[in-house]
Amino acid sequence: MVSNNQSKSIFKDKQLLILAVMSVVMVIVVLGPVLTQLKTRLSSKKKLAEQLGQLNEKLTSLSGIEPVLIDERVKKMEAVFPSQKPIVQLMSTLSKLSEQNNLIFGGVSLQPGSLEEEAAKTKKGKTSTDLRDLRFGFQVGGDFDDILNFMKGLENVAPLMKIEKIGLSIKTNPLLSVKTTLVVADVQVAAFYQPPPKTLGSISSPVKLLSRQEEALLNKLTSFKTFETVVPVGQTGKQNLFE
Amino acid sequence: MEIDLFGQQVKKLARKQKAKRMALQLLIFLLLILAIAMIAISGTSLLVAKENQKTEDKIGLIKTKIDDLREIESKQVYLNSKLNSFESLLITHEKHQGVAEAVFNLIPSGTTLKGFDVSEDGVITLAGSVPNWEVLSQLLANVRGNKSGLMQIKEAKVKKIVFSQIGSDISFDISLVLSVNSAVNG
Repeated sequence: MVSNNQSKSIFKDKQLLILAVMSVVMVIVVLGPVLTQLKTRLSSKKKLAEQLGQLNEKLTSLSGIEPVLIDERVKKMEAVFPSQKPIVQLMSTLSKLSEQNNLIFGGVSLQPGSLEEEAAKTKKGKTSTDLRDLRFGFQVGGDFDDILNFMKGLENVAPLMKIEKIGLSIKTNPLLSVKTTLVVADVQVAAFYQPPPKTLGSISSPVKLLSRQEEALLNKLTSFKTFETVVPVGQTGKQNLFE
Repeated sequence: MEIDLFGQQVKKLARKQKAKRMALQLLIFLLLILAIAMIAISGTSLLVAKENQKTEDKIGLIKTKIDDLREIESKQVYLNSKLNSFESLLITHEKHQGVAEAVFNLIPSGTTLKGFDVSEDGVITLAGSVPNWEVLSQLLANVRGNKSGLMQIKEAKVKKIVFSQIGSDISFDISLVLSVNSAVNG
């Protein structure tokens, strides 16, 4: 009885201290995690709001792009500045352009380009734009004025080409009774191509819309004359060598 | 006469008890406030969680819509990736075109051109041969009179003219420096 009274008295004496300890424990054990949770949720709310804003902006940008127009632009860009080595298009364009200017086209020599260099560049990470070129040479023969017209036209056709070197020589045709002057042009040309980006990036990454300057640049694509490329579609050989 | 033997001690004790009581009340009050704050914080936290869930749902919906427009996005990314290189190519292309056009306009019919090289400092070396004096004088007149087109001749130097034999070709070596025609470019 005495000890019970004694413990009651101790409790009464230490009541204040016990309550103070309880409040500290309550703050640390209960309120602490609740506050941390609120802080985390508020932080994710901010992040989610930012993400929602970005995605909304992206959706608005994408919805504003005219599908038909962008499709046309991609096709034109691919014709003028292709993603792969434009060998077939080049041959077709050159033969048609020479045909249009009444010239004889031939003597094509292609330089396939060094794959090692590309690989080395990729390893070093020095290629920022991944722009590649294909150098080749060819001959066109015919009237001098036609050759000049051909040369002028050459840099205005798709795919994009740059005349690197030119040599003109005059040849006479001894088979003809009337001496006809045949001018032969030895032309070295570089054509350019660039592989497309490998990835699109994350879904939340913004879409860069075209500036006015870039729009004007794209409009210049239309100034490049495109010749239709005829690619053989027939079966050209055995498909299975073991049959 | 009343004698207060513990008057001072009783007063002291009473003050101490009063202070204790007040401290206790204050502590209880604080605990109450803490409890209310905890309830409020938990409630807010729950509300924020609910809002976050709603935003996540919205994000999911928008992502689906963006996924549907993935084809357009890929085309836009393709155009953007190509435009940087294309712009620089087009600038050099236009200059080069101007140079080529200027050179072609110089050459009179009958000229055999061995080649034309453009050095890094923009000097064009034209080397070739002409069948007779008339064509050569026409070529030189063209060099002198070149004022139109995107590029015009800023400086011309005839480095070599060789008359080897009577009736044979006359070979020449001319170096030219072209500049952008400000009259054409505005």
